[in-house]
Amino acid sequence: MNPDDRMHAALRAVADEPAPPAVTTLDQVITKGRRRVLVQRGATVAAVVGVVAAIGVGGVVLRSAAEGQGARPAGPPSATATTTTPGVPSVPTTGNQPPETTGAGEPSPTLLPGWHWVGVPADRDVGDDCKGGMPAGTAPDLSLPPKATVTETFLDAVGKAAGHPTLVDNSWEGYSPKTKSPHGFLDANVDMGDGPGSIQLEVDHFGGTPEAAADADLGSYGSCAPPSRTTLDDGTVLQLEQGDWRDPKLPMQHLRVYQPNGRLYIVTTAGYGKSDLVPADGEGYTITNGRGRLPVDAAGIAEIALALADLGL
Amino acid sequence: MRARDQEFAEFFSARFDGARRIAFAMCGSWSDAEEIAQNAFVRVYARWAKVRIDTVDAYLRTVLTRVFLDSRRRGRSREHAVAELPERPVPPDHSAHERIAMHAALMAVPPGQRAVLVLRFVADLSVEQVAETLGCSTGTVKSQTARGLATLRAAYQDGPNLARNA
Repeated sequence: MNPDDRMHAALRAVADEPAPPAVTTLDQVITKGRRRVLVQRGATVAAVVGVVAAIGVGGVVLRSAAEGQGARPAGPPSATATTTTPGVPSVPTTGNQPPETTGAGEPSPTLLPGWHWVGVPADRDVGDDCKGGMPAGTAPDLSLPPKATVTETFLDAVGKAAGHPTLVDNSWEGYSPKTKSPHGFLDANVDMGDGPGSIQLEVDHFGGTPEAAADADLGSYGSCAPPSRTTLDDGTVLQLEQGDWRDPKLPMQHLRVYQPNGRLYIVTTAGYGKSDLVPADGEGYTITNGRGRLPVDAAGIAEIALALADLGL
Repeated sequence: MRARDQEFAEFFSARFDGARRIAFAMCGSWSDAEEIAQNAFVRVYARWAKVRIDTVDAYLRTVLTRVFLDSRRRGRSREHAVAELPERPVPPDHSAHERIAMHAALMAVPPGQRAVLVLRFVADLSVEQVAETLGCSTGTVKSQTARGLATLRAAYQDGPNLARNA
């Protein structure tokens, strides 16, 4: 055995030294781990609150400045005013290489034909979770599309992708106090054999170009897992998040559709339905039971989103 | 105990000692190794629902190495290279003596290169696996390995000179 071989052998044996008894217990690790999760969730909530507050304060300041100069009457700013928003960091694209997967027991991430992975910028990593970027611009003044048309298209697409849908919830608000903008919402439940699954649609709007808005939303669901993206001929961008399996019994997945006119459709699939909602003691609901799987796969949710994008509304 | 915790408990009991030994090889102190391994498992627990079970070992290695390197960055003043044998009880046999001499020499290798050497030769990972663990290219792993071995060889021969005399 030559000296190098002896050295390698000695190196391999380094960790064979008799070890003192371990003092770390499972309970210690779990207690600290839970505390870490709580801290991370708190940081995420604080970041969201901070961004919302900053947007609110910024809007008030800009509006006050405009009124003071008599430049224009108070009202929703135009899309061209979005250039004052800080730019979104460049986004690395990971091409067709599969990304790191995100959950125990979940299906492997699927890259649909013609789609590519888009990495979440490193500066959005806030520990084990990510946060979204600054809005790409101020959303245009855009009224909701006709409810009947969107509902019919949505239910038809859901029916093709996941079986017969039952519309369990719907609202079409010209002004939503929650989003402070026109906002539409549809919730269709489908039978998953052992209970219902949910496919939801939110109708909203965004500022900036479709690509810039999609970049700004990278990490906005709290996950650093890269979503996949495709761009249609008319410039519409579709961004499919990887499934959210943080609660393995209640998985969710989101696909956001950014149209060139500023319309945003958000299709969400969830492994639970309306009958799984249990009224909480105070107000609202809690969900304790779910199917542990999603009602449609990546191709299915993409079909639904494409049907909505085809509307061009 | 919840199903998630039960699953983690099994992983913890199966992997903690091995992780502590790898950490010991990197840092040279059982108390520091305990702390590094504990921190790594806390991070793994916090991400347990997101980590695929078939990649959790790789994730643990990555976290363990990062915790070690972070601890060295934060506390460089605590880091002191040991090129000579530390004072220890007389080892019971020649192989134990050689092992201690090697560990002393290993502590003379810079932390980054040391992590590569430990992952390659103690954890017995391939160049590709080490690259994945550290998030770098295989070329970087090879160059860090070569430099680390050169430093180690010098420290090892300048120390007890066991390799030549054996």
